[in-house]
Amino acid sequence: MVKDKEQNNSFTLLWQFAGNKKFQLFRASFYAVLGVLCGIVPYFCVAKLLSAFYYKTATSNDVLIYSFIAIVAYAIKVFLTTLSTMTSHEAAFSILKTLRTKITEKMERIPMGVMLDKASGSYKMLVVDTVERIEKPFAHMVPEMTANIVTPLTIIIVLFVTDWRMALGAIATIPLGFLVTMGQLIGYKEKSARQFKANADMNDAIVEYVNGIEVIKAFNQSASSFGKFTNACKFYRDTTLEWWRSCWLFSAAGLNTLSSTLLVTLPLGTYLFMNGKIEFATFLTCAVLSMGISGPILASMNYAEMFASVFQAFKQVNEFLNEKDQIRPSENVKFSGSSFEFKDVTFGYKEKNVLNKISFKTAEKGVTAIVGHSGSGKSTIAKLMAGFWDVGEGDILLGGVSLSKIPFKQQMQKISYVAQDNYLFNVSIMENIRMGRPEATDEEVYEAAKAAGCHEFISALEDGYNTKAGDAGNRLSGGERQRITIARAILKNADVIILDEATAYADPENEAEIQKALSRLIHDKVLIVIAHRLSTIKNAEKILVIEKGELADSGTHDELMKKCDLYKSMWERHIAGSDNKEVA
Amino acid sequence: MLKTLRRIIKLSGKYKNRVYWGLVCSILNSVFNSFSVFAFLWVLIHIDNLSMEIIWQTVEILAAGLFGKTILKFLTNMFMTAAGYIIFTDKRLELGDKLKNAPMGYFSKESLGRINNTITTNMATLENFTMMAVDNVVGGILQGIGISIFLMIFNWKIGAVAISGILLSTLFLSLIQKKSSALSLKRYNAVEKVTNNVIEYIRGIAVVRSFGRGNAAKLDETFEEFEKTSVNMEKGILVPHGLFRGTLEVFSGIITLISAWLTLQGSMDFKYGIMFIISSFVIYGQMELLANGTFLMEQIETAMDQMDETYNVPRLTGTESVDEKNTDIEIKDVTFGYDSRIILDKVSAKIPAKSKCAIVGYSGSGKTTLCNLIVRFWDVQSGSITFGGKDIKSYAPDELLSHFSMVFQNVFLFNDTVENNIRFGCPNATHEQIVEVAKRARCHDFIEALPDGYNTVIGENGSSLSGGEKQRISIARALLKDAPVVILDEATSSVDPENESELMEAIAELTKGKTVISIAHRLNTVKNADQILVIDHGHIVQRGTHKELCNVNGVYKKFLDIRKASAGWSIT
Repeated sequence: MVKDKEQNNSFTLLWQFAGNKKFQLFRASFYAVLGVLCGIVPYFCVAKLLSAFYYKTATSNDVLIYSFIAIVAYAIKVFLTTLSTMTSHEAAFSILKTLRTKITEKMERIPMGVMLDKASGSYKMLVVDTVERIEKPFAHMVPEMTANIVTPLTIIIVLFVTDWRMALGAIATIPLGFLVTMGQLIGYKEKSARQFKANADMNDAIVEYVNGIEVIKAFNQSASSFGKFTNACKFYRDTTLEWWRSCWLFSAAGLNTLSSTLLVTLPLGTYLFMNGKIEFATFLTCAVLSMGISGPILASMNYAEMFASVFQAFKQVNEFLNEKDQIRPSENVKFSGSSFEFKDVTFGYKEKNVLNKISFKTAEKGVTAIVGHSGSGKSTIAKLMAGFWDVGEGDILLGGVSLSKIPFKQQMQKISYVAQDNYLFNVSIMENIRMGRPEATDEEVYEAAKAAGCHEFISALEDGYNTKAGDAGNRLSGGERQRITIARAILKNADVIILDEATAYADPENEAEIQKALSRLIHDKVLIVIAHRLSTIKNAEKILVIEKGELADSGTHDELMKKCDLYKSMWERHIAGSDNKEVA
Repeated sequence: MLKTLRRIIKLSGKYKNRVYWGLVCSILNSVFNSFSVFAFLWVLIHIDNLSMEIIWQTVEILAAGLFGKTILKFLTNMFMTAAGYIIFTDKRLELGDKLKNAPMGYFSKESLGRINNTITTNMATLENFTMMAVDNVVGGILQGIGISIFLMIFNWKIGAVAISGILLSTLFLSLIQKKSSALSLKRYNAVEKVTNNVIEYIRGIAVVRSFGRGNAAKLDETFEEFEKTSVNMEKGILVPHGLFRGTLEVFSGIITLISAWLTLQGSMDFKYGIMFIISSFVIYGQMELLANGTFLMEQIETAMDQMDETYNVPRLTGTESVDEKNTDIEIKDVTFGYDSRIILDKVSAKIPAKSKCAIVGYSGSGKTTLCNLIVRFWDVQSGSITFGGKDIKSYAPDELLSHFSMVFQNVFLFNDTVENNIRFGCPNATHEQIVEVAKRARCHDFIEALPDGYNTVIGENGSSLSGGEKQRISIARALLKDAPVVILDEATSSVDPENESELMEAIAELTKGKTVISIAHRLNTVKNADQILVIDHGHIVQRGTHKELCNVNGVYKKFLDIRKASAGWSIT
């Protein structure tokens, strides 16, 4: 029953994804059906010829005409099926393109956080591989399965009209064949579950062995880790073969029985003929026609199997397309000021709450620092400010306006969010920086690059600003790439800048450069900084200390050193851990 | 195509016979397949004197055919289809085995991705389809030959027509093959382009969202282009495929015509004539599978090429074991580079046992490369590195590695319990020993706080732990290993403040009484070092202690100045 529902559901999806290509698919199916019907014509011709021979009425005209019709029918059949396949492929690939565009557009509307939830590889899978699997049902299944169901039905109807006894004989082996095929289903549930699990376990073992190979070698565990890998692969092989072996006999017997229509029609027809209860021509026509039933049935069984396996792909795509959009109005709002205010904000990923009814306000001007242990929720706060998610409970105000009332575009113009790993596109460095403000002139880009301290190393590259960021990838260090993204933010010149542990990946040499760049960037801006090096935010206007998703305390460095034990201990540990003592 | 077949047979190695037996069964299968035509013939021969006996004999012929087909189909699967799984499981293991002897430097994100892809996706394709393709192709060819001979014996004229059909269709078949190999390359490139653009778009989605969708236009174009390529590809295959099938179908019609004509003229017996006419429906059945097989063969060829490329894993040699007493390291005139770019140029240094050596230099100067060469991630291109007085190339690769502990920034944790992750350092360790090293590595407390303590399974790649915690677990692992030399990459910047001091304590535990080679960023490390090697552009430009170097004008002093500036900095 459950399976029925799923199948229905998947046909709904098929219909839905087909979109405006439904007519084209219908056309393809039409050609396919016509083609297959043409394929039946030669059977009639042959039957006619044979009976003509039997009754000794055959003339050379009969031979030429019937053979000619058969040949033409064959040719038209091939032509029509080819045309059908072409039409359906055009439709299918167009559907795939539409789906891909839809998915990527969707990526811009769903909360950024959902995108960050999974590795980029899994989204690549969705857009490229999963969508590609949807090609088969549209390009092949829709037209061919239609044809393969219509054909045997037509033949059976023709048989019944011609001679009902022969018709019954022709379909007699089909249920029997199906019944035997069902033998494969004995213990199907556990066997398939076992095989799926063995397959998944093997893939896990492979990925773990391969990705962990460096550690494995470093700790001399090649032999035992390889043992695990070996066992998983062998277990998969044995489980799979065990399952297959138990199916092969049933499937061979079942499918062969199913297609042995002659097994009944030939003796039955002979018997009827022997007793004068059937015309020779009818007998031959029916026997020959019955040979055309099983091929299409077998083919459509294959499609049914295929469809079950691509159903997963349908589901995945549909699930993503049904993710909840982040809905924002389109009317611009008026800000009063540039501070952020959190009002009783509760927020969590999955079941776990990260922020718990947190309320605070950032400074109207200058630097607000957010500090706390890792896992305290400080980075989540920055991401919420940048609009990665909508809050579950409570409200976030920017310049006095609730984020949910600010058009996304306007919010993006108002703030610059700089993370640890801001991405560089594989276009020229010039274009990468210009992304901050597309209408900026080259001069302005250079200015921004200079301010971010990257003009020098960019100029030193062979093609200077025209170097593609991807090509330069190996030559640019993490810190250099980071400075390019900062140049991008400088060019953007937004009112509010959020630095989400922006310097965490840089090594100390680069960090000094980045810090210089940042000092220029924050000139008369509102700056919100998530920091791990406390010394860098010592002079902040306001420091918010976050602990376990709640605001532990806030104030300036000096105030906090007096009243907040948590901050004090963090500061002391920071000083002990870093080299400040000796250097300063 | 025959080349591919030969390649598959070679690949089958010791399972060759299974494949051969499978093919034999497959061919016998098609013999039984023709029993239905014989049954027809049997009825027609006796059409004028039918009896119940004849009818039962007809049933027997048909039943024997059904029985034979079933058994042989089953056997074909047991021999051949099963062989696919058996052969490619062995290939999986072979590749896994190769990884054991590969130089560590071979492993990069790209190479690991490729290896993963080969062992999982690629092999899955091969194990599923290779044998089917062999069956279709060999079966198709042999049946074509069989039918031709059979028909020739009965009636050479019909035989000649049937063979012309086969030959003509083969012509189109080779066209399919040519087309599909050209197109599969095109397709490969098209897929790669889409993949790259999609990945770029997804990785940059945050930027796209905050700076506008300028880049998305390029993506839409890529999708459109991919659509066109796919459609063209399909058309390129469909036309010759249509011609191939059309030829066979039309020739079926021609066989009907000729048989009927010969019967009419009386040059062929009426019964045989009818048999030929009926058999025209099934005569080319297997040939159609040949087209499918040809198409599969092309894909298998590509998959095998990819597989071979991945199997081309460099292999380290060496068999000797390390003498535990002597662990001095000496680097003599070592030159090394990737491709044509030289990273290290004639570098020499001595690192005596139990000494502390700090390597200092800008990023990209060659510090990491030098460390990688010491543990033989790569073999040096000229010069030599000795460990305990012997060239490291003479040691068994894993034997050499077992004398080194490496602590890097990227920590790989297995999808297993915390305890087992630590135990990886020494499989025989008791629970008590593990707790002890965990305490020394300053991870006992946070492990105890985990839901199941030491038995907590750490999520995929240990994602439920913070960077600093992961790193300390890796230090515990290294402590348990207790190797005489520790190589340390000190860039600990992704660790938050309270973790940082604990990490320093853990590292101090690990390096106690060991030879230490560190890529140094901390002043403490360089101050306490017995020797500092300052590397710049692949050369050692300065060497000595902190005291000796800190007042000399040079790279080291510049380095110190930067450190001071960066540590004292604050946002104002």
